Amino acid sequence: MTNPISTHNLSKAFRRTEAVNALDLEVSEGSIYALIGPNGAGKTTTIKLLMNILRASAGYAEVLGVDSRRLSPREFARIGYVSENQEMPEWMTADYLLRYLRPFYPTWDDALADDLVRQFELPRDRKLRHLSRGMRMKAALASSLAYRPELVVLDEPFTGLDALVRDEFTKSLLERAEGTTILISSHDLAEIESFASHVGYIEEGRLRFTEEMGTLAGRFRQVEITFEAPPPLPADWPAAWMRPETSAAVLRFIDSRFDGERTAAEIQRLFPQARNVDFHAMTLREIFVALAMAGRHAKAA
Amino acid sequence: MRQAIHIFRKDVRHCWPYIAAVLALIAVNAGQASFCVTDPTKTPATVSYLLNPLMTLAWWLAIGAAIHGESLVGDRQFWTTRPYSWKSLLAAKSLFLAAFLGLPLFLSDCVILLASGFNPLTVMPGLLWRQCWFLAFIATAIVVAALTRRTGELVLVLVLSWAVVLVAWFVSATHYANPSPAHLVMPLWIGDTVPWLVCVAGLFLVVWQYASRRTFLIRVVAILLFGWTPVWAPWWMITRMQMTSSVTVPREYRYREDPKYRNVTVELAADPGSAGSVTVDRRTEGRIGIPVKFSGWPRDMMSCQLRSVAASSTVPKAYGRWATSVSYPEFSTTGAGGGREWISLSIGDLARQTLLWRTAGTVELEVSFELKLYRIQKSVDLQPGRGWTYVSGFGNVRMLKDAGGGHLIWRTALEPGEKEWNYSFGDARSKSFTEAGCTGSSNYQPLSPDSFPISPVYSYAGCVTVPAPVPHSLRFTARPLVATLVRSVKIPGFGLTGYPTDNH
Repeated sequence: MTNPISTHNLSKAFRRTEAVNALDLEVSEGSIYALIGPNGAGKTTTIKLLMNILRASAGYAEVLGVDSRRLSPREFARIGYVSENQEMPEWMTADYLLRYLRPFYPTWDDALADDLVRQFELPRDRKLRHLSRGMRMKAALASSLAYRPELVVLDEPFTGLDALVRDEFTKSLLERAEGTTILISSHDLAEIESFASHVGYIEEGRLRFTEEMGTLAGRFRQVEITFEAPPPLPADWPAAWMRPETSAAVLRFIDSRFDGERTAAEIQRLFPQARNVDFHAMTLREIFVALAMAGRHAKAA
Repeated sequence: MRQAIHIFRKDVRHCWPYIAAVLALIAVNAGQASFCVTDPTKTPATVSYLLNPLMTLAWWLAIGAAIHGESLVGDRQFWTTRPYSWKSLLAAKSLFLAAFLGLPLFLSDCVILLASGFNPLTVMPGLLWRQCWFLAFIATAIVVAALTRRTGELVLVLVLSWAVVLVAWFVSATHYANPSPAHLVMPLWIGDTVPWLVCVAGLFLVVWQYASRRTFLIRVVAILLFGWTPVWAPWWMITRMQMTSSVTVPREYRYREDPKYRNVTVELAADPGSAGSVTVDRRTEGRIGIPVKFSGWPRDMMSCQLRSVAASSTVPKAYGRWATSVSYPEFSTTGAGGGREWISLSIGDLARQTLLWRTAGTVELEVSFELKLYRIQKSVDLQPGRGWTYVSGFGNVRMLKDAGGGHLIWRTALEPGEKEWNYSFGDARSKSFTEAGCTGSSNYQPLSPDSFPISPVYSYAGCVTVPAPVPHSLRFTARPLVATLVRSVKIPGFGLTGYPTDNH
């Protein structure tokens, strides 16, 4: 069975800048895939390539089994797309927006649309231009969920929203899009961590890694080793141990390939004088920051 | 089609202020043209001057509002990731333009035609052709709307384009207009066809943009297509000016002469160099009289008018090369005969000319004549103060009465009347007809997509008024122009040395 989203060597260059560089991405059916990365990493460009808003310089993408360059109204009727910088028809009221879009979608569910409006507490008769940013995003989401899309693509949906609205937004998304494949790009890692099933880290247009959330959380650990006196860093420092820091008699680093027994044995080999070793689980945000910093240091070096 | 109608209904809801503005202006124009039948030369100028630009602006704004409802430029439009079919979208916008720009214009045309005494059904092909003309006229705005994001950008681009063309025209007109060297006059086929081809190509670009949204590439093609307008438009405008105002333009650019008038000749009616060949009248400040003889008139030609006489000599070139006659003598001839006429020609400052010609001695003088040939039509009776009367081959005429007497209004449907025309009228009851011909026209607008008249009728006012009391019935005879001929005679050995100039 083909994945709802797959890209093959997908590239996009703006003049000399490679925004997306030979990207190979697979989003499996039913997954909630979080595309994360620093600003300018190529997340939005990737999503625009997937939605055929931009044309790829090289490679191609398949969305719902169709080459993204040939996405037709039939496929778009099965896709819900919400973006933070999308220009909505602001002269429309929320109610008219939903009524206007309804005939475009054969699977439109009036009851679901009403539920979404109620749940989001959208003022039906107010024009979109008079709504707050959060309300506009909710209106966009409501108009993208009311036809039960098979694939939901969200580009930075939480930007500019307060914590309460984010919670409501996420809750509604998970409730209403159960079983739907979701691709979401966001900076709000704490929010994503709570519901993403897969995560892909993109940097400088390249996909650095992509894996299940559980696996990712399992393989990253912050390691803290206590000594009598601080030792020098060994010459054969493992490549998977990132960002070593020494303070007084404590050495800290992040192991990006954590395996309890193997890591403990490696520490024992390199630091036989270690008095105590602690392993701390990391949040997605901490992992993201570690990866971003490591990338920055590598670039500087 | 269902989706197209759905989008169309949304556009109607969104664009109603623009629709209202277009309909209001169309209604004002129709009302003015239909119910205010007055002498067009006495109609308040501000109304007609304002209506045309306002109407054009309203059309631009309506086009912009409709097309920018689903802007084709940029990567943030909500509709690009919705199940829109580009064909439906294009159909919706076409429907909008047809319903709120084309159809109101068509209805307004019908109303104006009816009010001017024409039956729209009899001129239906012309009315439909006028819709094509209108589409060509708004094609530029449609192309620009398809390649811009907002209506403000659209208006800015169009206004700037017009400004550039006007500046280019002004600069060109200052340098080349009067008279324009023959090699700078545009060949007619270019002026007649290329603007239309550009408009059609522009509409293809719109379809391409809807199908692919490759804005950058299509913008480049559009610039290549329309970018030379600042060169072409002034060139064409100058050519038009030359075509209508001067005999200096080579004949092939101006008239396609009917071969049946090939035998019409003009020759000097005296031996060159003889005493009677040329006379100089010092009292009228430098007019020369040239006796000429016309021959070879076609049998059906009833009236001839001589206009725009120009003379050139080999020297001096810097001064007084061109001179135009100050009078337009009219003469009639019948059958294949001809007649001897004295052509009066001003040579400007006689004293200066004399000095120059004295220096040069004698020169060969070439005098060009523009001959207007009119055919007399069947006369019709006009009842002053009543409705329109149809005059075959001429249009609808109407004699308006006012306190000072009466004057003639003339309207043609869809096509301008002959640029040069002539008529006469007299009192039908007393049978004492008075030939009172005059020439002149107004509202002349050439058929070209760079301009579009919002009225389907062309109005003209006769320059001859009937003094009060206006008779109950007047006999009107129209004389449509059938040919314009350019002929010339050469006068060798012409010089002013023999003429005294001490009193100038």
